[in-house]
Amino acid sequence: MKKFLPVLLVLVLLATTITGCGGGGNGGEGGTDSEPFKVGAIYPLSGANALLGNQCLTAVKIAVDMVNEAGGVHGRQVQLIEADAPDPTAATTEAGRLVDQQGVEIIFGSLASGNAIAIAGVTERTGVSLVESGGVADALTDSGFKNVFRILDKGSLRGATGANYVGTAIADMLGIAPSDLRVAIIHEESSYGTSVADGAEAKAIELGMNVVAREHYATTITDMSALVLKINEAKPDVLLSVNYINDAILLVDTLKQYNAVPKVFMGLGAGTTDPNFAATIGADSDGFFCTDMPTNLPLDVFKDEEMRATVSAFREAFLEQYPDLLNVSIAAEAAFAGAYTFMTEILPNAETLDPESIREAALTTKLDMTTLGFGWDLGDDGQNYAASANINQWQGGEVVTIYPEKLKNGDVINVPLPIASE
Amino acid sequence: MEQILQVFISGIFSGGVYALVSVGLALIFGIIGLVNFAHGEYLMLAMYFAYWMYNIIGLDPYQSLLINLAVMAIIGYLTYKIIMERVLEADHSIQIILTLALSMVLQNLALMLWKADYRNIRIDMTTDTTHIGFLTLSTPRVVAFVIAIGASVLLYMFLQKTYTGAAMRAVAQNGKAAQLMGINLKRTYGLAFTIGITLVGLAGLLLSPIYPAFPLVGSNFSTLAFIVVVIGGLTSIPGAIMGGLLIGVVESFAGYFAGPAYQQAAYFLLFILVLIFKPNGLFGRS
Repeated sequence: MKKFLPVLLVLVLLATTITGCGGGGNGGEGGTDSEPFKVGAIYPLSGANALLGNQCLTAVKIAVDMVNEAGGVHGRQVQLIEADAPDPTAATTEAGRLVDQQGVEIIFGSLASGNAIAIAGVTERTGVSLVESGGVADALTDSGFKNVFRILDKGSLRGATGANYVGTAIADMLGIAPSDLRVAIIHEESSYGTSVADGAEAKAIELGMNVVAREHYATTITDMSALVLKINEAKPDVLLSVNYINDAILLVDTLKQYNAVPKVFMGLGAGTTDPNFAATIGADSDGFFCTDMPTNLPLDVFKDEEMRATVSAFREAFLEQYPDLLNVSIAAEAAFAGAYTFMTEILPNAETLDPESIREAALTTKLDMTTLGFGWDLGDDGQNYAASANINQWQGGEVVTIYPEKLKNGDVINVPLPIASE
Repeated sequence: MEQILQVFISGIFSGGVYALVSVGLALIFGIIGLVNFAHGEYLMLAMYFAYWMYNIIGLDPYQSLLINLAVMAIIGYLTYKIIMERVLEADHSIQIILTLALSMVLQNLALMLWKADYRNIRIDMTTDTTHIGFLTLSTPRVVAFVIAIGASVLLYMFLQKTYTGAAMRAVAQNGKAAQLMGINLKRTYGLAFTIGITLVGLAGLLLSPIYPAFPLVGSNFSTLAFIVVVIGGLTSIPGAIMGGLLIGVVESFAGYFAGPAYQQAAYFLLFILVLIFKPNGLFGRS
């Protein structure tokens, strides 16, 4: 048994890290006018995030079809090559395959921040553009990558948006001065959760709120009792929480079990915006806030007729493929917006399709509106500073937008939450 | 002090389920000498069955317990007959590669058939609490703990007090000698594997009102089960029970005092300490 134990240990570790593999390859070449313009799409098509990953891929395929129907990019038809990346290791391998073997010139991705950062490491080496419409970790645009363009807001800004609303609006509703408001922060520990929590904490401190606790955890957590007991000791009025769906549900269940639900629960993206959140928690979810990208905006928000038609056509095409869904998921809307905007608004402004021209076009193009409801205005870091997050609230199982005023479609309810502990 | 006791009790209740997940693993390794890396995937299958029984027939996991356990036992036996029996005499490395492959096949089959959605079972009891004095206890975790510890103790009694249990222990000690004494080796192995899978299935059922089913849920528990089993002494059933409870308590205290981010680090540290000071585990034979 002694001989066998080291082998077992190595294999336990191996089993937890083992991933799919792929090959490297020879350098690819740019195409001529008669050749298709190759773009890649890297999403988690298997593994825990496969559900949304496949929806994102569908959204990108619809964008490519629309672009091809309209004549392609610089007169070339777009050829989409897809890749499955359930985790960052696979993302690196697959990015290498798409770039080196397939010769793609743009990669659309990637749903998860960890995957996005892994892909950026490969694209940066080769000058291929990464158009990111899922990962919000600050590190993606704060790391000096030259060819990363992120259409959506970044984590710290999203966290700050949520905390700002707590300090400027919710404090009033609770009748507590921001300086007396007790705020706790819980987040999952990946770069995504950490970025969002950092932004929320900085904004809360800036507004003079008392950050009485900050805790993080791994998403594989199976029991949140200790976390909830610890947070409850700090007696927060407001909980700012960054979770994926599974841990978001576990957290709310555990808060309820220990009678530790705070007066206000401000979710900051991902898990608390997921339709499964309200579907699982049920009526008790009424009044839970969720800060996230704008989603399923009414068509009249889009003043431009052509854009309105595009959004409508996309939603129709998408829901045709997912007849069980009532609405397009937020992740798929973002994936479509990233791919469609880049191919129809940015690339036509590039003189040629070489990396330098594409970068210049991406940074100099300014748009008032994309299909996500906000504009396009990139900083030198590749971050879209026109992107914003909305403050939403669960009401009757639906996400209702509370803020900003121009997109608002409902009033705030349940502050404080009816299920809040005394 | 009240809070410390609350944290301790929460840990014990989590540990009960960890113990049940691990007991099956320890049994299979102890009797057959087979390291089953697909162990967590059977937990996943049981959680899906519980989900379907609830969603299609309307039976909650407690009402469908016996049906589900029967299904898991059949699956366990078929796995043994179709796959495991062929590698009983093979090298450990071949057995391990086989169970790793089986784990991946089951995970990806689940992904293909049922997609990556999280499937939650919401019964009234899911967020119910039981109050004992100042202690707040999650009712489904209390139920899971009681059944898990009960099942583990029953297994131990079965191994100690029955003829078949004695035969299984004899096979564990020396398969050839046991065979010479008239014990049917393959049937004993088959029974051990079936019981092991049924037990992990039971753990899956008990977890299903608390935790969602999804294709990779098994991996959240299987690493933990391996640690529990090694701490407990690899083949020891009481070791797996105590190891599970210990991990639960360590995890809970680490989560409370150091923060939830350090829960895993804490039990890995315990794991390393046990290996340094008691390389055969707390209940292992030297």
